[in-house]
Amino acid sequence: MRFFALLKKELRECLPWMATAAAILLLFGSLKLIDSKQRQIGYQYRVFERYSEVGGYELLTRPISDFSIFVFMSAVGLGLALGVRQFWADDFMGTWGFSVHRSTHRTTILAAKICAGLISIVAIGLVWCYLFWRANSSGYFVFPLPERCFIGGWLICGMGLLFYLGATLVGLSKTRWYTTKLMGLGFALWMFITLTQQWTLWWGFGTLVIGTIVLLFLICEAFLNREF
Amino acid sequence: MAKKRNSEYIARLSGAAITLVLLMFVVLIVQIILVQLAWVYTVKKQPLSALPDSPEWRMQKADKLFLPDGTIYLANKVDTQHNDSYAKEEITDVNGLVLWQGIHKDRPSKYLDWASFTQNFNEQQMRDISQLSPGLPGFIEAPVRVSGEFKEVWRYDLEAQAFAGYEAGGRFIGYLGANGFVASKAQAKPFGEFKGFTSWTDEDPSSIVMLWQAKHRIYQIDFLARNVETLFENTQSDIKSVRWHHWRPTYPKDSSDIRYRPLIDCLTSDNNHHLIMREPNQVITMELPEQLQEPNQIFWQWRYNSDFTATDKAIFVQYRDTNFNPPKSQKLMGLYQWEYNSKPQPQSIGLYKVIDDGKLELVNQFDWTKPVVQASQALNPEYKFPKWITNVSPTVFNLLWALYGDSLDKFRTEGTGMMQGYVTIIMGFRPLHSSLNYVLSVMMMAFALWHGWARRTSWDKLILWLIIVGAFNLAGLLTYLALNHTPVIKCPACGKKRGLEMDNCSQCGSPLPIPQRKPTDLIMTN
Repeated sequence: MRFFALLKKELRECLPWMATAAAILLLFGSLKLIDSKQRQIGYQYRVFERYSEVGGYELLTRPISDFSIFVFMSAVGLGLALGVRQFWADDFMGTWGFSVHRSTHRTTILAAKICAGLISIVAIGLVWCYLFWRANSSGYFVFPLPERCFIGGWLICGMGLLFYLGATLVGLSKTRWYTTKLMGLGFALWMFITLTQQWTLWWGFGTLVIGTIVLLFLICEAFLNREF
Repeated sequence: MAKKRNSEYIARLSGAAITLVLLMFVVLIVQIILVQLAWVYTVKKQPLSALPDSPEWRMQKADKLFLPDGTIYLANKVDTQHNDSYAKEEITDVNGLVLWQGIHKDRPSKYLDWASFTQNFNEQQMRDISQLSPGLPGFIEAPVRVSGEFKEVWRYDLEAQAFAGYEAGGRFIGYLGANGFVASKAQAKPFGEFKGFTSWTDEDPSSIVMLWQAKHRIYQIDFLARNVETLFENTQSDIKSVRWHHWRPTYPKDSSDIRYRPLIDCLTSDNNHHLIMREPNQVITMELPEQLQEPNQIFWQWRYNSDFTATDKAIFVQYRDTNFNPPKSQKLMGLYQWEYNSKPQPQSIGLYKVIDDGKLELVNQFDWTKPVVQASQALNPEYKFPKWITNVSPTVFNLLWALYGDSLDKFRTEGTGMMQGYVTIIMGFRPLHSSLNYVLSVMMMAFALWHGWARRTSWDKLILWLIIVGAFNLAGLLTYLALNHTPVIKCPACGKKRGLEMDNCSQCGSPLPIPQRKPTDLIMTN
């Protein structure tokens, strides 16, 4: 019960950030979709000459790169904002004492915070689902978008989770900035680069899971052993 | 409790590992910046020494051209201002008599020309476009038009290793796989692990045709006809390279003095050349005689000394013998190359005719001598600089190089993806002055020992940190300092410095002094 009460409180605090990120994604994503419809993406293939060699890049298409970049920016922006809101703000305002000294174990407090962050990032994923469904069902693209794009979009949302956990770790670290304070964000950045280098969905998913588990481990240790 | 201790250990260990990796990157980035700065401010001011324009060097640099009857001619560039196609050149006989002068692209077509590499899109490029970047993966799509209107598109499905087809309205058509056109993904036989493709249009530009190379097979895919033809299949050996000649149809006006047959030269890992020809259809599998096989292939520039071509009269092989037999190990390559360049080296080029059973008959051979390459010509100044900058690179890179140098080099040249990038970093920034690097490592270990002596909480931990500092040099030392720099005080018992991480003094074992209690203040009201 205490967990759900804490979760509710955390969600209430995350809601403005989550709603802002989701609204920005919905707005710009929809505008880009309308733009795609007007430009009739899918019919814009080059017309080749007779007896010509056709380079591989001339056959390359990136159907939704225009609006998937908004998914990335929303997810990462939201991740960073939530990390700061949940774990830095108490440091700035000196209110950790009020946040932590409750009649429940610290694990419950941390779990509620992380769950609220996760739910907020999933909300961005749901907006992505809506945009993908709209792109595929309303004739915005001439040819249907492949599943790979859909799963790729969720992995991009996962990048937001990595940055959220990285910002969280930075917020919990008591070391100086020029030693290991920024390590959390550095690791998140490294995992993000590694993830963007993967070309199979399984490897991408594996990278995300490994990065998340390592960061969660470090966050748990930092939160449970820290003196507030 | 034990569970808690274990999780604490794991968290500390992973934290230290992450810090070490990140600091290695930081050191590497600083090294790269210094190399680039030095390149900008020092190396570019030094003129690169050009090879001298002596008759011996002209002979060495000349293209050796054969007529089908075996007569040999030499083609030399006259100016170096233009790229290969527009460079002026002259063709002479072997005695130096000039027979033709003009622009390279207008060179008479009576000389034999040879099969060249086909891929205009390779495995690495496919991986690059498929990466899960924020712009989301790209796709290879082959459009098909009828009467100027797009009728359908065929999109390569990376997971299914086949093409999925859609009509312009978005209706699914079916799949094109190794077994041709089928109605569903389940029925489509995968092409196999992708290696590369090249594509073209023929007389009808409404659709493209692809030469698709997989690990064990080569296909020709005609999207308009929805037809897949398997040109070559060998499940026993991997395909190492594919070269082609006149396979793609060209304008009828592009006629040559020699009538070539369309040819694909497919080299497999068992060192067999498979010559796939048309007009008429014919496949010849041949293993070159031992003396004509490429020597131990380490560097790409020493590969592919043999070329193939097929005319309506005969099939020819051209073989260049550079007398360069690289050592078995990449680690000895630098020394071997230096020795090779320091002596005149006999060179030869031979033209052979392939007889129907795959045997070779020598038509003509031309020999000359490659002059000595002076040290100033052999060494590129770019490679002189990074030596000192690598003194702070991790010493463990040298250990990896010593133990797995050849495997790492093979992976660097043939591998793909992020791991290839890491291997390239390890090889590019391994310490080049080993002894100086070892000295620096030992000095850093000594500093860490001095620093950690008073701060130690256990001998095991201190020794582990010394090993890390020794193995990773500057990055190791920075990691050590980042994670172990705790304040020290003077021990009230022994007077020596001691850290505050442990209750007992590391020198004398006495506990930290307990602060004396102050008398209780009572706040009285009224």
